[in-house]
Amino acid sequence: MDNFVAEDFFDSKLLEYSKLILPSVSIGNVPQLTIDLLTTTLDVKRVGFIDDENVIPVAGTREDTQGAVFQSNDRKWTLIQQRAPLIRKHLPQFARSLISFIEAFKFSEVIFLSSADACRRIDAQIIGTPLRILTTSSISNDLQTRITSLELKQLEHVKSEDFIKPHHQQDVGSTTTDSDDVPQIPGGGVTKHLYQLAKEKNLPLVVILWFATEGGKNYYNTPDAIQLANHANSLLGLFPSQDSVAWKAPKSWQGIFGKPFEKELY
Amino acid sequence: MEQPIRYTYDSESGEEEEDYEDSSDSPTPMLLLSPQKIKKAADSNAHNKKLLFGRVLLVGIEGGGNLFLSSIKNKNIIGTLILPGKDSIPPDPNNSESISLIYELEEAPDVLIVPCRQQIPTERCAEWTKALFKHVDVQSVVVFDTFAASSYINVDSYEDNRYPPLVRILQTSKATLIQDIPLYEPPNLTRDLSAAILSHCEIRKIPAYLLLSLLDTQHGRFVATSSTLQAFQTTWEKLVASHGVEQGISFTADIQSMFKKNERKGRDILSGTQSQLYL
Repeated sequence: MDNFVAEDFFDSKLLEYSKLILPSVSIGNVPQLTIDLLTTTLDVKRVGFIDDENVIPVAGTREDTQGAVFQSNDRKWTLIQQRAPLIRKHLPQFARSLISFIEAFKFSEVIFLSSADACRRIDAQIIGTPLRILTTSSISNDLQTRITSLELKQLEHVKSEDFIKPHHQQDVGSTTTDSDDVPQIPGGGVTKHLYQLAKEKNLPLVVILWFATEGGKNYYNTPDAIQLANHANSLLGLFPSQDSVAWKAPKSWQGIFGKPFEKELY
Repeated sequence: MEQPIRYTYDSESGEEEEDYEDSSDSPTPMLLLSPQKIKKAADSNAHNKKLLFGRVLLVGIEGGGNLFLSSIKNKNIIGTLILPGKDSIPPDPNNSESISLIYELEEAPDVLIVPCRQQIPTERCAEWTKALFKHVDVQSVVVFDTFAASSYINVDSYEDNRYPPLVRILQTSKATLIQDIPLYEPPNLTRDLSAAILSHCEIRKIPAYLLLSLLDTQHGRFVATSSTLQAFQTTWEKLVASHGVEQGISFTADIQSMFKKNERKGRDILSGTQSQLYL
């Protein structure tokens, strides 16, 4: 695997057969914010990087390194944080790169956190919890049982012509081709491509999808991230001994949506 | 967190499958060396196939960083890094997106200097960086770049009470921790070439510093003025004094006068179509 670079102290073989959790860069940045919560709250250590030219280069303080790979101290969980969007038109290449990483390290399960445009839900999706699941057939029986017992709904297969289109696209005829197996995921970024490839290669992939809007109900998406983290925890049992998790937020959340307002204005 | 642009997560409508491009066929950057350096590289018989070696590599990003490094006197050209245009197959130096000259200091040839005069397109920053480090083996890296106050999030205050000269720093884990230069603090992120270089150094365990100097404003536009460049000079001296990053460099050019010269040039050109003063 040539795009994973391990830290000096880490043997990359230790990634093998762990469970991988990674985010899509999708609407509201909800999956990335959720990974923030997981890496800050779980007992994880940075063990390497994904060095991928399909991602726009960004750099910040040490916690903000692009493409950082973390692993929990019990070696059970491997997490990837992706800080930046992809370069335009590079979605398929990036999906292929992720799939080759997943294949190289034989992850026992891959959990892909994603979000989709809540404004483009169909009627059936508006009622109830704005969460959907998408799985490949090779996921473990244990995980399948948990999905059933938690009554998590599978993502409905909606044809692209049934979606409400954004205003600027309403007069344009649809040129997308619907695959029978892969639902459309508006605002879901690389999710569709990754799911399609995982399905073709029979990899054990679970997509946990949260319907969100840019900015969310309270003008920011951190509450969405907390809810997605709670659902992910219920499904995966990240903190098996705790009923409710006290999520810790990283320092970068303090100014995530700009500068404080000028109080003297009001 | 870098805010995505809508296209990045819209996989349909406006970003059709056939629009996806295969990046594998874009021409790779070329490193051309002076004849003396080619001979030296051949004689050294280096085991790692690198062509250039140094104690420190200084990279100036297009704008203030480039201007600052261009002010260094007594430097000799030893090579060129050419980024061919995407349609330049086979690669043609006359059809390039950027040409970056590589210098060495006359008094200290193991100090390599790369001022980038052109902006490297976002999608090719990683490619440019990899090409440079494929051929260059250095012990440490210092990158000079600028930032605008309007794009900087200060979590403690709504006020924009920052004026140049002001420098903030980012560094890799392998670099000695600098306490006396304020951090380019979260949630702020730098992007493009300076980020690509810093990320490359972080991943490859190379000690590296990124110095970000605050741009000045003139008539509502962000410009690199003498204050911006002076901040680089002061911070560089601090870096050398406290951590000995590189003792062999002195900026013999008087930055103030150098910049005034550029300012005059800028005014002259103002009567034309553009000002070189504006970066």
